[in-house]
Amino acid sequence: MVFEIILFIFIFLFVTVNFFYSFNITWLWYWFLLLVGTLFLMINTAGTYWVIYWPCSSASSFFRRYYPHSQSLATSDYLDNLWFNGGVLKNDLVLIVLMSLFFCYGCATLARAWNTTYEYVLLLLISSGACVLSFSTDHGVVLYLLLEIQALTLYTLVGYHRFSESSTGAALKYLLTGSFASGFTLLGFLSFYQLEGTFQLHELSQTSFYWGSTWLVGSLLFKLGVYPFCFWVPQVYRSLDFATLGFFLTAAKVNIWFLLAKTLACVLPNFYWVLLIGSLMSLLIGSVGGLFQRSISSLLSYSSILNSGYLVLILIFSKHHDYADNLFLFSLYLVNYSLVTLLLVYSAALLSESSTQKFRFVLASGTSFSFLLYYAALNLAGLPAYPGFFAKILYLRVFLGVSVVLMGIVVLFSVLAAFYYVRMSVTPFFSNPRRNGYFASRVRPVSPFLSFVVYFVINSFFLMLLNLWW
Amino acid sequence: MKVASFILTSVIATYWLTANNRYLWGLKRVCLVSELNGYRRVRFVLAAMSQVNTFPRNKIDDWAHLGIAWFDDWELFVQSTWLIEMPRARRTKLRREFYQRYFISQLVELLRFRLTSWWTRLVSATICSITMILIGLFWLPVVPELSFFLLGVLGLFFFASCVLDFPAVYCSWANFLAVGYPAVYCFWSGDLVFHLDYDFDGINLPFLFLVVSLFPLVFFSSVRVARKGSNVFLLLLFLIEALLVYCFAVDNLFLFYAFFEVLAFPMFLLIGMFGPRTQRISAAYKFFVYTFVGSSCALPVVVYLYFLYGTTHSHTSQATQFTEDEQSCLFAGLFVPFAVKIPTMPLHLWLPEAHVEAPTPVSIVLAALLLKTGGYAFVRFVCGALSRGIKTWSAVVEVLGTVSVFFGSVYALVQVDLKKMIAYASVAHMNLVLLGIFSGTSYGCVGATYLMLAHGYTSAGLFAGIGVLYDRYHTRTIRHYGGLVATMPVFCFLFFLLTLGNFSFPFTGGFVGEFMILISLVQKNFFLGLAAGTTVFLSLCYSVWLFNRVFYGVFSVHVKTHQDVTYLELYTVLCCSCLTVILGFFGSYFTDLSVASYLVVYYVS
Repeated sequence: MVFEIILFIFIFLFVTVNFFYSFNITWLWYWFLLLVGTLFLMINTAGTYWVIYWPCSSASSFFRRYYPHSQSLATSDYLDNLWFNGGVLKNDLVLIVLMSLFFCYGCATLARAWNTTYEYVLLLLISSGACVLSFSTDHGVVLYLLLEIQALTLYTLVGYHRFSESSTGAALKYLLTGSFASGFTLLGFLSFYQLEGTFQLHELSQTSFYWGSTWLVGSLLFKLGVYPFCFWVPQVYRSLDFATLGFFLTAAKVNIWFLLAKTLACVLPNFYWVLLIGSLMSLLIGSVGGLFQRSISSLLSYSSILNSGYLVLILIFSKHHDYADNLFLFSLYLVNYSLVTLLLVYSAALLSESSTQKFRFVLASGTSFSFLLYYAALNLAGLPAYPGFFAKILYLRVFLGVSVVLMGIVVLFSVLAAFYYVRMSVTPFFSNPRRNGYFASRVRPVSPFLSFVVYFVINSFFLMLLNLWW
Repeated sequence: MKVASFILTSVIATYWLTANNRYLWGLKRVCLVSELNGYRRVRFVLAAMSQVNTFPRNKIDDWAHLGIAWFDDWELFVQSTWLIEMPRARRTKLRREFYQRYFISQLVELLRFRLTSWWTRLVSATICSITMILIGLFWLPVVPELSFFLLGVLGLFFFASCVLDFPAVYCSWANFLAVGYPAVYCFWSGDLVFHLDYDFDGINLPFLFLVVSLFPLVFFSSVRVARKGSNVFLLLLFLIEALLVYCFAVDNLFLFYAFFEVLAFPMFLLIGMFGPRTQRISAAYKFFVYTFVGSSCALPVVVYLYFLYGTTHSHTSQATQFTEDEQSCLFAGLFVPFAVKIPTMPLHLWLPEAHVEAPTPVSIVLAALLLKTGGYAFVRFVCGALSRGIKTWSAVVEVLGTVSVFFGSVYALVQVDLKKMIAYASVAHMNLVLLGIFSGTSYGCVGATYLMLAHGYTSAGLFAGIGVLYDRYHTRTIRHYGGLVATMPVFCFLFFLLTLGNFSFPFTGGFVGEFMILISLVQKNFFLGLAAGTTVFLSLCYSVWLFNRVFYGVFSVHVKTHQDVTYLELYTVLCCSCLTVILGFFGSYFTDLSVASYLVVYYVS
């Protein structure tokens, strides 16, 4: 099973990346170079995961030898016995989450690695490693440490361009607010320890406790950017470059979502009204705020607020229907959102004149990237025939089960949001390529529609693959 | 299966890349010379590489003296301008030689262009169908009904719609006329091609017929536009065709909603990318906002029906007993999107803008086909299932419809723009259709469908005619025209027939439809019929005024080109004119057969 996963990820990354890079550089020699380079990077990726993960797993004699008691303390083999699901991989969120993580990570790295130093890649690796490990730990303090490692690398990634004023400013803001959230996470675990006398997460996930879980839920909501804690999101994301932005929007959040949906599932009903108001306000802020943005980073940050609102809404109404169905829907929506956002960031990065925040697109790079962007943005908007539409239909069903009014509100916000998505998607088609000058004339046009179709196919395959294991 | 389809897709994708990428074939330039201040200014036109091998290399130096140079770096080449001087005799000789070559190359390019466009259609259809199948596979366990449809039918039909649509729909139409039982047979072997879940009946066959018979004309009229916009234009048009066929073929509200909403996007892009003026973008956004907000009103209805009643088939909905509140809510939700498409008066503002900014073929599609999806949806999904909802809202609908008919005609009377005038005429006619549909009799509904059919051909012809005029004189302002009968007699005659069709002269298609609608309205309420009947007089006024102003009167100073219609334009406009007249004579065939279908809608439920 594992090998199959890895194999398919390899194929997927291979096809995707070669496909993309073949556009800008048309010559055979570069094709060859990129092919080798891509393979190298993928092997590197997998190898690094292996190096980070394998010593910590139960199969590792190395780890057992030196830390014989660590099994019960910190880690368990996530492929054999997960602390929540008895090792049945098929019905688990982890697989999906991991695959999207791998995907995001690989793309972010590849997008960035061609013109950067090794520190960037290293930071991404550390962050992703902490993220992966946080799925497999069963101990509150270890989880806290892993989240802290992840957060620290994220602060560093935000401030990576250290001579840029906006970058360092954003990093400072993020650090100051984020460290509060981290402290509250620890407070939450401690209060659980005070209550139950244990740090074990599988016990935490079966207990409904109020006082300490407030800190936990609050800090997770902060990291996800849901309403009461969403004001840092546009401020910080605005100054990110495209690769980091893609990483922040998708891969950095999957384990947080996972914690909220699985570990804290029992305590969420305690915060029904808070979460309801919070998510509806997120919808409001995300949909209305996005209408006034002009840069793609800001747009995507508002989009992330909006989609966090949807996901939290699905979570809090999980009790009304079958829980497993809703969790399926949740993960479906999450994966779709992550992949498509990443695609959007990726194509926007290739379309924009420089890899900064300006929302200037170029038509003359062929209609291919424009079509990619078009596909991604309309998918996020939930328009028919794209996977996003079916996800939208399904979550509308959940809201219909609660109230027709709620469904109406959600449809209203999705319509508002669709305006800025559509604006984003058609801008490259409607803009005047001649005004954009040099870059426009350098990039060779490719056969229109092809990239759209191929990416569509790839994406569908990827999602089908998930389905296979479901 | 998955592996196989993946391989197939990759192979097709690769083939597409190599076969259709014109930059792999290389480039050739042909130069166009024109005089400017005693110098020659050289402009460059791109053509296909296929000419390069036959290009006489020894002539290049000669031509270089003339100012025609040979470059390998075409990016530099395109932006360059040379000013070169030369003896007059030599100049003349060389220029003649050059023009001969130039025209030949243009001819070859035209030929290649046509071949490419057909090939493009085929390949892209294949890719699209495979993609659709793949999406269907993914959603198989989630929405079984839908993915069954996507799997089997969509892929087949996507392909069929580009290869087989014409013979298939003609055959089924003929079959329907002959035996009253629609089926699709292969027209050379006589086998049954496919049996679908669709009901091909008297309700949707006219629309399907309209789509497949108008689209060749649309493609003919788009040759000029598609030249500059590469094959994206044709692809989008083709996509619209396929989607329209689906829209009219399905009787499932969910699927119809999906196609209906997707349909707006190629149109949005076509208006925004290929319109002749810079205001096109705001017009496209206007179109999008109206359409999208409208169709999002239908989304809750679709979700409601799909998850609470389990299905959205029109037959099942007709058999379901909805409560009265439910009916009125559902009707309100469904009325908005389809009224936007019709378009009814407060929601009509997108239409004139879109028409004015769109290129000619897009205007044809918009007026003749896209507006009809609204009417079809009313007949198919609203009339049968929500009869009590209609009764609740009937006062509102009638007032809106009548106001739109009257003011649409009045607005058409005061327009100064050719396209805007025809657009407002469309508003008036289509709202008469709306009144006919909601008159509550099968009679009115048949008339409404017939009027839609007739209006499809008439408005297509009128917009094609306006395109002909615009290509020659580059203006759409009516007062810039005058006395065209002297320069374009043939076109004048064809436009006259279309004008007759526009004000529903007897023995044109519109007359039959309008007559039936007005009869049913008078049966319901005399004053309603009277108010709606004002359009008979008003449409006469604006149509005849328009015709008179453009083709007769003082010969305008702006008319500088004296050229009658070319063969291509003749074909386009002639087909529409002929069909307008033919529909006026053979109405009873159609109405007798389709009354049965409408009786099902109105009385069985």
